[in-house]
Formats: sequence, structure tokens, C-alpha cells
Amino acid sequence: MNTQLRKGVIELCILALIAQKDMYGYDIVRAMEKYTDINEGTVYPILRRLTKDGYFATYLVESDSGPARKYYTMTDRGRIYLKKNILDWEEIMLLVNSILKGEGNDEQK
Amino acid sequence: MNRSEYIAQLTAALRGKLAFDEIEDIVRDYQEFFDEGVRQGKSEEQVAAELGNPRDVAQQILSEERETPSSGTASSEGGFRDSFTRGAEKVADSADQFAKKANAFTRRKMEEHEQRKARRQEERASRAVWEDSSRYSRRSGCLGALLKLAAAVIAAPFALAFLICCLVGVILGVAGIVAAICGFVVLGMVLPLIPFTAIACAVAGLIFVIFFCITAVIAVFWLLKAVLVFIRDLLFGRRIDDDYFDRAFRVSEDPNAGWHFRSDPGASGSWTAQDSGRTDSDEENWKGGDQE
Repeated sequence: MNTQLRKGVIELCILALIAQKDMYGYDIVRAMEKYTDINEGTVYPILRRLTKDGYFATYLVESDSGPARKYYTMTDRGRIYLKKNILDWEEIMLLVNSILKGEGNDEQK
Repeated sequence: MNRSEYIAQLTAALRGKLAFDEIEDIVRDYQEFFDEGVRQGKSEEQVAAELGNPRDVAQQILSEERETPSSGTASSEGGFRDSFTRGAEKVADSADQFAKKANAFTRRKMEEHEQRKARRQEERASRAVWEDSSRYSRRSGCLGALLKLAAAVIAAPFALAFLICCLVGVILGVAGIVAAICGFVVLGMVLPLIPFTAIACAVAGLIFVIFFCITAVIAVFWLLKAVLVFIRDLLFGRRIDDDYFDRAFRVSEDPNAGWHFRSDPGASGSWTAQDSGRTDSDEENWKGGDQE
């Protein structure tokens, strides 16, 4: 898959996952692996950027076995960003689907 | 490649391109990933393979660091439009947040209002109960006290009679006990019936004593209470009601207020309504009492 497209989609998935419940890095990777074969290495940089942009906040939770886990939780800003991204996604889906069905041949690049 | 090798390569690839604490933070994240993987029963090599080449990962981290929030297509669209979009987004964001806060504020205020309303209704209900009881006692006022006094006066002779009976019973009982002892000593051996009868008399006498004493005490208590209530109503009843009358007069300067509040005391929620409703009815009560 196209890496840019893939990255955008993964970002949206991460946003949606963390909107549902607070998760830590490995948890997110496992949750996404259920549906697609992703490269684990891509998730952390995205998480970092989203945290840096203020969409996520992090907190450490001491685990009973092993080191503390860094949990990611959604901020208000993140929720707005997710909403916006979902709208964008739906728009893109609509466009792509309509073109794939052959309704908008003139728009095809 | 094991964990330390992987982390070392990653750090080497990032060194000089990111701040030291950022690299530390990134390393922490990947250490956590290794820890989790090991906890799931994977080897460090397996986890490293899953993560991919550390240099690629570093490259990705760096590209993400450089990237703006609106990734991908935005970079090709040129500076002005991009920043304009970003600014618009920011305005929209803050507007959204403001709306959210305003909503939350309104909701909280409404909840508080509802709570206050409920509390006030509760208070009003308990107040109404209190008023009812106080009104009842005031209405009973003089006449009630007189009736209570009369009842007590009628009851008193009976109580005294009981008391006398008690005394008689006590005397009989004591006599019975003495007779029993004497009879037991003198005739006990010959006729055992006499001492037993005497003991039975004594026990019955004691029971009478206890029962009548309790009755007498209760009667005296009620008598005293009635007298005290009568005195209290006589002394303080009128003064309190005069006070109420003054307040009622002041409140009812507004010609509509009294009627409105009295005809519909529950509808308007203010305390003044409650007060005027109370004073009006109290005034009536007092007048009623006066006529009686």
C-alpha cells in the first residue's frame, strides 16, 4: 500500500482506538494487528507526533510484572481532530467509491 | 539482533538529529515494546524483526518529527494556503472548545438549578409539615389547654382513688406478709393452708401497688404537662401571634400579594410567598381562637 495513504489511515485508526479507551503502545499495535499486517515500527512515531501535537496525553501506569506502561489518552483537542479526520475520511471514501463505480470518469487523474 | 543492539543502532541513527531528551523518550517507548514482546513470550530477536530495520524506524521518526499535523498532501500545496488552513482549523478548534465549555457550563448550571429546586421543594414540604403541627398546637391554644386541664381535673380523682387503692393494697400486702410469717410460725405445722393464702394476698397486693403507682405517675405527668402548656399558651401565645400579625400586615401592603400567595401557595417559588401564606393563615387562626 502507498505509504502516505497507509500512514494517514493508521493515524486515523490510532485516534479512533484511543478515543474508545486509554491504551499503551504495545496494546495499540496488537489491536491493529488483528485487522491488518502493520509494521510495529510505524505506530510509535505516529503516537509520538500525535502526542507532541497535543492530541494525546500520556501517563505512566506501574505494571505488576515488568516496567511501567505509558498509556495514551485522548485530549479534547484530539477529539476534535478525530472528528475532523472522520469527516475527511468519509469524504474521501465517498469520492473514491463514486469514482471506482465509474460515476465520475472526468475526475479521474 | 537483540534488544541492546537494536536500541544502540536506533540511538546512533537519531543522535545529532534530535534533542537528547527526545531520543531518551523514544528509546523508552521502544524498550517498553521490547518488554511487552518478551512478556508475551517472544524472543528479543523476534521483536526486533517485527519492528524492522532500526535505521528505517529512525528515518520514520525523523520524518514524523519534521511533519506538520496536516500530513501528506499539505506539504505540496504551498505555504500560504497551508498556514491559512491551519489558522482556520485553530479558530475552529477553539470555537469548538468554547462551545463545548459553554455547553458544559449550561448543563452544570441547569443541574444545579434542578438540585436547588428539588432541595427547596423538600424544605417547603418539611416546612409545611412543621407549620401544620404548629398551627394545630396554636389552634388548640386556650380552649385546648382548658379542655386538657378539665380532662386532667376529671382524671385526677381517679388517679387519687388509684393511689388510695394502692396504699390499701400495700397495707393489705404488708399485713398479709406479716400474717403469713406469724401463721407460718404459729400454725404452719398444723394448717399449711393459712400461710399460703397469706402469701398469695401479699403478692397480689404488691402487683396492685406497682400497677397503680405507674398509673398514678402517668396521670400526674399529664396533669402537670397540661398545666404547663396552658400557662405557656397563655403567656407566649398572644405575643407571638401579634408578631405574626405585624408581619402579615407588612407583607400584605401589596394588595395582590396576599391573595395570590394564599390562593396558590405552591406555585410561586419564593420564600416571601411562603411567609405571607403562613402569616395569613396564622392570623386567621388567631382570630378564630379569639372568637372562641
